[in-house]
This record gives sequence, structure tokens and C-alpha cells, in this order.
Amino acid sequence: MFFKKTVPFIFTLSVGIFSFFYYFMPHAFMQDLWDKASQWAIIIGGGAMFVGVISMVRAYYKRATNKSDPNRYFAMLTIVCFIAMTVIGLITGIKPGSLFNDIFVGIMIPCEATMFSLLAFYIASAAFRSFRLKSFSAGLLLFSAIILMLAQIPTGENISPAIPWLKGWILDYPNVAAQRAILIGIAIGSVATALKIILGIDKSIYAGVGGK
Amino acid sequence: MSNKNKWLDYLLNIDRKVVYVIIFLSVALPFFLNPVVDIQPTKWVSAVYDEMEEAARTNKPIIIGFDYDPSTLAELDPMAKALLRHAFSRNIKVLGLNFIANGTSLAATTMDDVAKEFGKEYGKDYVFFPYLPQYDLVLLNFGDNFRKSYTQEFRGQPLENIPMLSNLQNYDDFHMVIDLSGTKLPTIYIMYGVTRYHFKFVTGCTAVSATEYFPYLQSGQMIGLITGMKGAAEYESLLKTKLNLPTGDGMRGMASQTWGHLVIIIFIVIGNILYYVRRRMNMEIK
Repeated sequence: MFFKKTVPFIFTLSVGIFSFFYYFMPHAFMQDLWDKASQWAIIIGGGAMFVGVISMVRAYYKRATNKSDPNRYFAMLTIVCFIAMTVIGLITGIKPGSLFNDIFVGIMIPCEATMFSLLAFYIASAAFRSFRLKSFSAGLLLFSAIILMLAQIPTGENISPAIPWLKGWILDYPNVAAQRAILIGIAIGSVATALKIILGIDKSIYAGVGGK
Repeated sequence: MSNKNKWLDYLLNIDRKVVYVIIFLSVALPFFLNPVVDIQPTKWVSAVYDEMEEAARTNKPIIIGFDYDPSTLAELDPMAKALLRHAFSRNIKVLGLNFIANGTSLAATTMDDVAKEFGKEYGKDYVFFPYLPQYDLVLLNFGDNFRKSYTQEFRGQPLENIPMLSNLQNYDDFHMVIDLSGTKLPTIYIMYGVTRYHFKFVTGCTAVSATEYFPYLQSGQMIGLITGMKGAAEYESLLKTKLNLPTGDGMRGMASQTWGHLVIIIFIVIGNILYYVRRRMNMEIK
């Protein structure tokens, strides 16, 4: 438990205190220390991605070898594509003009763009079936949605200059009021969570402790 | 009465494939029509344009963060191209950054394509930095010296060999920073960059994420905002009227967006009328 709990706590506490003082004390010594620490952090960040990749391959390998799983062929396909892209990337490089980049541009971009563009169909279907004027709150939502959608196209300006003005008013006043409240809430919550982690009150982040 | 009911039931439970076909036609067909050519820019888009002109006057380079991937390409790439066209047409040097691994080659290709239109040279007029993880630390380090995080540019050359970077060190040497993203990254720029180093900051975002940036506009932490396809079209309209530059994908996409939005509004209205009629009929029966 010493290496799983106490050592991470000491590291978290020291880094937390150091980062706090660095932000408010722009001294040369602190700056040098920060430069080194930030380089470590960037390297560790890259390493964390590698850990993520290993974890992903393990999870998909488990699914691919599970004969009772009807979706195991998708897992196999994921592993094959992952290996193919890694090998191609290592051989040809990843810069524009390389085979890796051509595959990315020719397959990945259209696939991902298609997935995202399907939203338009779901929104249209949901708008027809579910966007109902059932209460005052629903009416406010409906009214704001129609004004914003009209103002987001040139037709809105052509119908009336009041539509872009109303859009501006909705975004500048009710929206900003709500967003500020959310932002302040998130900020206070983040500070509280950070303090709990730095001071070791919240131990769920440590290995083998989470979820208990 | 029963015949009316039958029709109402049919329309209220219409097969979703019919809705899909209508929305597909409304989005796809306008691509074959003439693009929208006139659009009124909002004050926040005009503010970005004016700031870019100021950069040309002060002869200072700008930073553009290309933090988008294929999922938000349709909205953010026209914006990136419009901004780059403005910058290159006014001989403003551009430094490209990227914190989204999936968007690295997209950004590099976009920069190269627009630079080619204006005969700009890589390393002299524009340069692109490679993807790095831990964007918060990179942005903090940038305030002191970007060489602390980056040792080479995207194509692998050491930064010492890039003429454009010879006199550049941190945010103070740039006129402004623009971040194009559908993620939370513009907020990170504000938290770790603007709050501490007080540079001029502009965001280009997807239309759905625009609402969360308005508090930063009011507080002055952000000096301009370009939102979605319409924002890109507004910027292209400014380029067309003031610099006589040709319009691009933003204006072309506006026709599809216009018809798409109108069809969705019509669906909402029809759906509500049917719902209301149905409810009245049910009340009459009771």
C-alpha cells in the first residue's frame, strides 16, 4: 500500500504545492524548476498515450478471441487496422504526401465527417417527433431555437432585422447569465476537487484505491 | 372524423426515412445552386477582421491554433482558409499550432494549400508546429519561450533553421492568437494563456459550442468570435467586399445550411400543428 497510496500522495502534494507557488512567484529558481518539470510532464503525457494504446489492444484482443462474442470480428478488424496503420506510419512517415496520410485523408476524414453529418438527420427527425409546445419552458426553448436557427442563416436577416438582434440579445443576456453561473460553479467545484486530491482527502485517483 | 384521424395518425407517425430523404435533398441539392453572395457580418466577426488589419499595420505575425478534426472540419476549415487568405493577402506571417492529434495533417494541408494560392514560402511566411500532448503546459511555456516545448517544426527541421522564427520568442512577439476548435481548447487558451500573459485572443468555433464563449467576450478576455459556417461566410463576405478576394466554402455551404435550417423549422411547426389538432380532437371525443 506504501507504493500505491503513500508515494503517489507525496508526489501529488509536492507537485500541487510547487505549481501553486510557481504561478504566484516568478522567481528564476522556480522558473528553472518549472521548465524541467513541464518537460517531464510532456514526456509522461506521451508515455500515457502509449499506455492507452496497450490497454486498447488488450481489450480488443480479449474480445477478438472470445468465440461467444458475436461482435468479435469488429474487434479483429480494429486490431488489424491498428497494426496496418502503425506499420505504414513507421515505414512511410506521417507527413502530407505519405501513404499513411493518404489513407487518413481518403478513409478516416470521410468516415468521421459522415458520422458527424448524420446528426442533421437525427435532429430533423427528433424536431418533427418530439419538439412539442407542451409547457411554458418548452415554449421558451422552442422560441429560442427557432430564432437562433433563423438568425444563423441569411434568410433571418431578410425576414426582419429584429431576428439577428433578438439572437444577439438571447446570447448576450440570458445565455451569458446562465453560462457565468455554470462557469463559476465548475470553477469552485474544480478548486474543491483539486484541493481534495492535493491534500490526500480524495484517494480515488490512486492505483488500487479507486472504486472502493 | 375517422378519416381525419387516420391522416393525422399517418402524419404523426410518418416513417423516419421520409424525413431523412427530405433533409438529405434539402442539404445536398443547394450545392448545385449558386452560392450565397451577400451576408451581413456580426460585430464579433468584424472585430476579428479589424484586428487582422491591425496586425498588417503593425507588421506582427499571428498564431492560429488548428484544433479541429474531421468531425468539425465542415464548419472550421472554411474559417481557417478565410483567415489564412486574409493573413497571406496582407503579408502577415502565420505560426500554426495543433493540440488535436487527428487534425495535424488536416491543418498542415490547409496551410500549404492557401499558402500556395498566395505564393507564400514555408519557413519564411508561415510555419507549423507539430502536435504535442499536455497543451496546458505548452501554452504556459509559450508565455516565456516556445522553444522550451518545441525543438523542431512539423516537417522535422530544427527551429534554429526557420528564418521566420529568428526574432520570435513568446506571445508578446505576436499580434494575436486565434484558436479554431469545436472542443474546450479555446477555454484552455484563456485559462493558461490570456489570464496570465494578456494577449489578444480570438476563437473560431462550431455553432453549437458558441454559447459558452459569450462570457469571455463580455469580460474582454476574447476580442472576437467566429461561429460556425455562418461565421466563416461572414468573414468571406468581408474579404470579398474589402479586399476583393474570392469567396470560398463558407459561402458555398450557407445555401445548404439555409435550406437545412428552414426544413427543420418547418418540421417543428408542422409537428406542433399536428400535435395541437390531435389534442383538440382527443378532447372533443372525451
